[in-house]
Amino acid sequence: MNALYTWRFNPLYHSGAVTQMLMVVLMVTGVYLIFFYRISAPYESVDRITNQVWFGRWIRSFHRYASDAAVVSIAFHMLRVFVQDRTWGPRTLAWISGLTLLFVTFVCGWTGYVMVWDVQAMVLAVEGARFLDVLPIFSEPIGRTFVTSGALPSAFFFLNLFLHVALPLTIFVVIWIHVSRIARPRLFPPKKLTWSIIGLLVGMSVIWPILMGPEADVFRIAEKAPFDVFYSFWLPITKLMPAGLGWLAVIGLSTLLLLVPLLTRPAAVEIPKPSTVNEALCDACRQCYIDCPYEAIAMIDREDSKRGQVAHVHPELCVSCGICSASCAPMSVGPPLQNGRVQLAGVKEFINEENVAEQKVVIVACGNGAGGIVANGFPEAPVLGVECAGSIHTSVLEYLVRAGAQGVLVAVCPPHDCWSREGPQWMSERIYNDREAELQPRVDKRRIRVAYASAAELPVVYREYQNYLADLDKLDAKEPERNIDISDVCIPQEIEA
Amino acid sequence: MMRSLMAGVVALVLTAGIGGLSRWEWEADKTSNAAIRLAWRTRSARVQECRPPTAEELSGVPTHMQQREICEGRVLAYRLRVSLDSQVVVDEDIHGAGAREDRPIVVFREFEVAEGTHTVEVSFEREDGGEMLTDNLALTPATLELSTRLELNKKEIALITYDTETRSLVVQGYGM
Repeated sequence: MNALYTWRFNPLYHSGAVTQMLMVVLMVTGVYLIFFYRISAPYESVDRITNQVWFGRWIRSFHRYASDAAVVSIAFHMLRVFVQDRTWGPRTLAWISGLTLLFVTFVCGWTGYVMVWDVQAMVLAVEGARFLDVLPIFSEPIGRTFVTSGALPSAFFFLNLFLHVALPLTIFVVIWIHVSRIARPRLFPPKKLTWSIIGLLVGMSVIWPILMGPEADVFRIAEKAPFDVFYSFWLPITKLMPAGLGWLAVIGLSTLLLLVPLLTRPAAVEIPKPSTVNEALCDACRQCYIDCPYEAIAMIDREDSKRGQVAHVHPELCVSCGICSASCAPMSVGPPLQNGRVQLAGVKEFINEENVAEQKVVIVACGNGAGGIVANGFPEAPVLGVECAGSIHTSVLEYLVRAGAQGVLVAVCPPHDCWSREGPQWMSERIYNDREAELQPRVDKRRIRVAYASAAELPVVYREYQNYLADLDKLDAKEPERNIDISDVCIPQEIEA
Repeated sequence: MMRSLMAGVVALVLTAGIGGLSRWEWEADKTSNAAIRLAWRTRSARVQECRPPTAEELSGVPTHMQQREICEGRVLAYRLRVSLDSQVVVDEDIHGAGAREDRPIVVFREFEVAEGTHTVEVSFEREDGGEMLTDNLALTPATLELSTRLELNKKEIALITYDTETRSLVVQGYGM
C-alpha cells in the first residue's frame, strides 16, 4: 500500500481515524434521512427516499456504503493492533473499548437494516428473535412479533429508530474512552485521504446506488434478496445451527476477543520495565512530559531539597516505548534497559565490534520496521538495532558520526506506522528541527539521513542506502575522532543496568 | 504517473468490492417447501379456591393489610393437538407464559411442508377447572377446533391463528 499511496496516505495507517471520519459521515447523512423516515410506513418511506433520484437515493447509498467502509476500517484497525502486539498492559482499555465500539457499530447497523423492513430486515429480525427467544427472560416469544398477520406495531419501529439514533451518541462517548490514554489522538485522517474516501463513496453512490430490496412478507419464506455481507455475514452460519449453539459460539468468540489482552501478554520476565526518572539529573524541561505519546509522564513538585518540578512516570500507563529516553538531553529518564546512558554504552560496544571507523555507512534501524533488517541482517552495512526509532538519543547518532562513520542511515517505520505512535516524528524533529534533546550543531547533518520503511519494505531500505552512498561520495572523507566525550553535554553517571 | 494510475485503479476496485459485498444476492432459506404456522395469543381462565384467613394468619398482619379471604389458584392450561395429513405432530399442554404461568397463553409453532395440498386438524381445548371458582370464562372458548385443507405453493406460509372477533381459529396468508 505504501508503494501505491505513500506512507502519508496509506489508509491502513489511518484505519482508526478513517473509522471516525466515516462515523461523522454517517451522522450527517443520517440526520438528513431521518427527516423522511416514518415509523408507521417504514418500507414505503425508505422507498420514497430511494426514488428521490437527486438526493435521497444518493444520500441513502452514501450512508450505507459509509457504514460498510466503517466495518472494513474497524476490521483492519483491530487486525493491525493485534499483529503489532499492542493489545495488553496499558493498551487493554483501548482494546476493550474498541471491541465495545465494534459491537455498538454492528447493533447500529442491524437496527438500520431493520428500519427498511425489506427481506433482509425480516431475516435479520427473525433470526435475532430466534436467538433472544432461547433466553429465559422473555415471557412470550419475541419471534411471534414478526410472523403474525397485520402490520408490525409502530412501537417496534419506534424502538428500533430510537436505538439507531441513540447508539451513535454512545459511539462518540466510547471513542472518547478509546483514545483517552493517548496524547494528541489523530481523530481524522489527512485531508487528501479524507476527501479521496468521501469522493469514492459518493461516486459509487451516484453510479451504483443502493436500490430497494423486496418488501418483507410475513407470509412468505424469505426468497433470494440482496444482503449486506458486512452486517449479515453471520446469517449463513447461524441459520444452520440451533440458537443455543449460536449463543455458545457468540459467547465463546466474545470471550476470546475480551481475553486477548491476557492471552497476548508476555510472561512477566519478558515484559519491558516501565520508564524511570533519575530525579537528580532531571532539570524539569518538561520535554519527556510533552513527547510521551501515552500521557504516562507527569510533572510534579519536587520532594527533595531542590526547588521546582520533576518528571514522574506513571508505570501503569507506560508502554516502555522509550521515546522519553530520546527526549531527555541529560539522559535522566527512560526504561532501565533503553535510557540514553545504556544506549551510549551499547553504541560504544557496537563501534568496537563493527569497526565503525572503517565503515562508509552505518545503519541504525528500528526493530519493528526498516524492512526487517534488525532481525534478518543487512549484508551491505552494519546494523545497530533499536526497539523504536523514537527512543534513539541524538548523542548515539553523534557518537557514530564522530567515531568515523561517513554516514548514518536511520531506517525507521513510516511516521503513521510507528508502534509507539510518534517515534519517527520526534526523532526527525530532534535531528533536523532542533526539538529539545536536539542533535548538536557540531554534527554535520549531512552525515545523518532518515529513511522511512515498514517491515515489509526491504527494497526501500536498499534504495535509500544506495542513494545515500551516492550522496556521501560528494562529501569529503572524514577522519574518526579519538577520545569522544559526550559527557560535556550529559552529566556523567554510572550506567544503570 | 504509472503509480498514480495504479493507485486509482486499486482504490476503485476496493470501493467496487465494498459496493458488491453490500448487495450480495443470498437466499436465506433455499428450501422449495412451504410452511404452516400456528401463532396466537390468548387468555385462559383462572381457577382459584378461596377461604377466610385463620386467626393465626391475621395476627401476624397489621390491621390495614388484613384480607377477608385468601385465594390460591392458577391459570388453566390448554391442550393443543395438531394433525398434519392424518399424522399427529403436536399433542401437548400449553401453559400460561411467565414463571408463574399466569400470563396469557402463547401458541407459536411452524411446520415445514412440501408444496401441495395438506389436511390440517387443530384442536385447542381448555382443561377442566373442576369445582373451583373460575373467572375470565368469556375470554376464549373452552374448545377451539379447525379442520381444513390447505393448498400451498413453494415458499408460501399459511397462518392458523385465533380471531378474537369470531372467537374461532382461522387461516390467513396463503393456502385457502
